[in-house]
Amino acid sequence: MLVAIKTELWKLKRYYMIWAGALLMLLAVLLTVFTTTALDGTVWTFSHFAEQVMKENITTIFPMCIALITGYIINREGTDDTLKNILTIPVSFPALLFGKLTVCGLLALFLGFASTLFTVTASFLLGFPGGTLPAILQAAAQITLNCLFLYLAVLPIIAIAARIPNGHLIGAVVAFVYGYGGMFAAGNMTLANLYPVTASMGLVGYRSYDPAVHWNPLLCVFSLLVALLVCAVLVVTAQKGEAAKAVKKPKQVITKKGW
Amino acid sequence: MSKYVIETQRLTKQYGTQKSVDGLDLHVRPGRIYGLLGRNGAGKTTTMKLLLGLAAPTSGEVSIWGQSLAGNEKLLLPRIGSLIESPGFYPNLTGTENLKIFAALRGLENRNAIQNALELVGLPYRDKKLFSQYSLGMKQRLAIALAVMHDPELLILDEPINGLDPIGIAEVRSFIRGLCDERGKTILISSHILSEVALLADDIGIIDHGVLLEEESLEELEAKSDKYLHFVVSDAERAAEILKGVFPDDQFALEDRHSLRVNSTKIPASKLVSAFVRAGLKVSEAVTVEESLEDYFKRVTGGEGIA
Repeated sequence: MLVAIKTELWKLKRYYMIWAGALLMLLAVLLTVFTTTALDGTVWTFSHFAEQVMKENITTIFPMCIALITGYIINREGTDDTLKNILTIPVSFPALLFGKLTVCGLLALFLGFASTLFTVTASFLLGFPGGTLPAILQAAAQITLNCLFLYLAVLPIIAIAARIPNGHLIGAVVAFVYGYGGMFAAGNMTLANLYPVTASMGLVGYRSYDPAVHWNPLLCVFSLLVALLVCAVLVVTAQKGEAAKAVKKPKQVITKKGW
Repeated sequence: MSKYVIETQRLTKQYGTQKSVDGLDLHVRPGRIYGLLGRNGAGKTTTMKLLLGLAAPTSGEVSIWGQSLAGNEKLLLPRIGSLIESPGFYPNLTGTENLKIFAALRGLENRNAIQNALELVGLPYRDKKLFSQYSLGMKQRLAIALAVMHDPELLILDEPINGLDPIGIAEVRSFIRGLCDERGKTILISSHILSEVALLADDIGIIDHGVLLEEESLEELEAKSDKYLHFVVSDAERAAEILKGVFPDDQFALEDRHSLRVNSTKIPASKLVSAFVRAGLKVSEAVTVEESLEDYFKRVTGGEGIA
């Protein structure tokens, strides 16, 4: 299993999707910066800005982003035609998926860290007060861990998409809707504790200083454990080549040279 | 211990209503090169996928070293090296980095395995060129390096010379021959290029529409190929009159006013030439024509030749 994880990390070298993910993290920060321009009387501080970035991540960018990147990482074994090399070693398809999903968990942490960097930079550039070291460290922990927990929440969608040829694009769309659903779930604390997307907020204590917010950490953990369990069942029962069997490389058009 | 390295029993693969492989009984002997010959779409790649467990058979069984492949993949597959269809590697990595991944997954302990494999196929070790920048020939060489990197006992190579230039083809041919002759490897190669199979294989299987039509050694196939005598004479009709006394009518045929064909090589051409000359005929050509592998292939498949 460790070898599967190690080799998955090697495969990410010079992989453009990592930078696409980082750019999407930047987009979440830029969208938040855009909202700061509204003249609605909000007093912007570093902590408030970081909270809004987290909200943007949760409801708009991150579930779609991580589902898309993980989907690409799984799907590439079909498009790059490398699955046959792996299956004939033999490495089972579930073992391969396990390695990929573990590495994508690390990737979620990396994207969370990138998001923190962008948030801190943007806050300093905009001159928001309250950017003290404890506040920055708290925001870093919250944003980074929230990305990891969000990834766990999205895992069942990723695992289902991995079973569908070219399913990563459908998975990204479904993950976006799933993430956006967090906006509605957040209106009711029981639902917010149970809905995996909002449960990820509960586990990092999002706005827990607010008397109207009552997170139940046990319910939040339970919610994410259920998501993890569903994912595990889907991974273990995945058949070899399921995702790649209908994936064809785009046909290369050969231009005739000479006469 | 089985007599064969690979043996299939009534192996069938059906996609919808179409049978890609139909009741295949394949026998690959140890230490020999088996050439699976067939047109494009004849079922060669599907057969190889079935032999590697990349596709599940609709019916029939695959045995490797006398053991059923189904359920014994973890035992059998590590002893096999393969190249199926086009070379598949990660485009963002170099050749060495690609091989490093597969070596790690295989648990290869020999630190020089990657370097040796790359040197064997004439690719540089630790080159900075990414796989996406490789030419088709380089990609094919890398795929062969991957197939031999773990020193497998059996190699299953699907169209291994695809995309190689003539020098590359000759190099790969001699390399494959060497693996068999010097290191005792058993090799199954598929090709639609008759000349390559004829030059390389010890045993040949002809597959057409998923059916294995012939399976013999190259010598047996050559012995089965047709031979006939072709004469160009001043008067073919008079020559035919002379032949009537020697052969039954169905053993020779007039081709035009000056040429005729004798479908038997029992009597040496020199004797027939002497008989024609004694009868006052001028003989300008007398040749023994041997059916080529391609002609044989056409005859067996009832088609227009290969690919």
